[in-house]
Amino acid sequence: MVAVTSFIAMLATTLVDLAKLYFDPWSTWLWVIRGVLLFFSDKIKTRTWILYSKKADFQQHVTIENRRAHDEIVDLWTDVLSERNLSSLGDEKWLIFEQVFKSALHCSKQSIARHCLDQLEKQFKSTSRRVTTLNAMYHESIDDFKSADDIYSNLLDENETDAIVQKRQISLLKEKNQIREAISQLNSYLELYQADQEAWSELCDLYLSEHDYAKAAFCAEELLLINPHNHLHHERYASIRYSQGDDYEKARTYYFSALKVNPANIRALYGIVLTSTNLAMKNSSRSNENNQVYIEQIQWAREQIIQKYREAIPDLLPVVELALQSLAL
Amino acid sequence: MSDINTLAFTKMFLHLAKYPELAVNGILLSEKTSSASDEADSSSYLHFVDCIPLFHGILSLSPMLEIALSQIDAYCSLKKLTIAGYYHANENYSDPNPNFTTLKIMEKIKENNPNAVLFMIDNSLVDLTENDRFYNVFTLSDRTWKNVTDSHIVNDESRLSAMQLVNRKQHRQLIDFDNHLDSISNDWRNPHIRNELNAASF
Repeated sequence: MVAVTSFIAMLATTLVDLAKLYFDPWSTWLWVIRGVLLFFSDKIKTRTWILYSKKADFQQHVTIENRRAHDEIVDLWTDVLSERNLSSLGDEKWLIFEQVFKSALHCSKQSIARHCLDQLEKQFKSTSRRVTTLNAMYHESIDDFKSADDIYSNLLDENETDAIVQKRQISLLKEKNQIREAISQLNSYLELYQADQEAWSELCDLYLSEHDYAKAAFCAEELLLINPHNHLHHERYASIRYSQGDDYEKARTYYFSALKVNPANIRALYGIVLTSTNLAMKNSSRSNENNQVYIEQIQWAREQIIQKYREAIPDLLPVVELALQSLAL
Repeated sequence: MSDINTLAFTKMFLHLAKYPELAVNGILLSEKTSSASDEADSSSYLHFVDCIPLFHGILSLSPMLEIALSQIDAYCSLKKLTIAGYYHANENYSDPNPNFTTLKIMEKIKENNPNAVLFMIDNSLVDLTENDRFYNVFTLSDRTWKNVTDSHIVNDESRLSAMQLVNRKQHRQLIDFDNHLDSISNDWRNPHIRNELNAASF
């Protein structure tokens, strides 16, 4: 029913175009009617998309979730999308091909990836840098690192400011387990692109995998400067300082600031218990004033934690209470 | 010498399936024997009966590890179990070797149980239609790893259950400690997985 309406709308648009040609190209009324028809046919097209119920899931996966469930996307492809003629989606289908391609690579379904890539290459030939990058990613997935690197180098020769290709070259180093080189190249990249959160986050992770807490903390600080309203940045910074072991005070400060930004952050509450406990133990021989503050805050954090568990998952409360006791001074 | 039951094996496998592109780790629990000693005993037999998936992504941050271990310890004391194993999967597909993080965490676990062993995931073995297990077992002494996979027994039911549950997409329902910290109503004991296995028993 919807497809028919859409077809009629598009037919009507063509008729209006013909009328414009024949009668008066500048007729305001014809322009208005044309505009209205286009508006409706577009809306109907979009609704057609959403009406394919599974596609709503797909859109959600691609646009909303930060954590993409690649196997769900591949399932959606094999169960639904590959069976259908995608031409009714218009230009949206290239985005779908791209997303399914990437998800298929994650799930090692090279044949699906190849199929999507072929469709993209047929449409965009070899002039599209974006499709060429995808082609290089395909080579990476079949362990053909040399070809991938060559493709990236060629792309950079044409345009050395291409951030995405630079980052893919760094990922290549990570895949080959050349972590030191990856760190070094990522540092060079960040000298130019200082506001790239994703890159700072990746560099932080690379340093953490090398257990270089000091440098990881520096990256976490950059993330905090770029976006101080993200409670996860505060909490990550605090955790790094705690893991480093010599500045529990700073860790504690940032666990508190994470909690201030997001009072539901349970990691921050646990972090307060841990840091305050450690600080109280360190200061046990010295003044009682500071210790009193730490002890009160440990008590407060524990009560908050227990309250949250009581409300959300009372079944687990005995375990949590026992665990908190074991962490006590 | 050690063996592993279907529940522990399956939960470990589901954790890998849920986060194929990330490093993951977790704890394996064994029954607490009455003769548990404080010294390393190479002749002790470990019977692994449960698995608690811990984290995915970054494994080298210590605060949440301490929280997790304290809760698992508490859980063990209530259930007469003990932390006897630790599994670790590297982010890099072709790297089946224990690294510095693995070492640090194993040393911490061995403080409480000197007989604890490492299950090091080997991604090349993940195809359970061809292999009976997807990991190698190691002991640690004086910072040296010793491969003791030959003395570890896996039964066929575990292998088949693990594959079956992944086919039924149960890995999406698995909760690790990171998921629990994101939203505490997620239960890291995964009682629903146990139910799934009971329903699937053949």
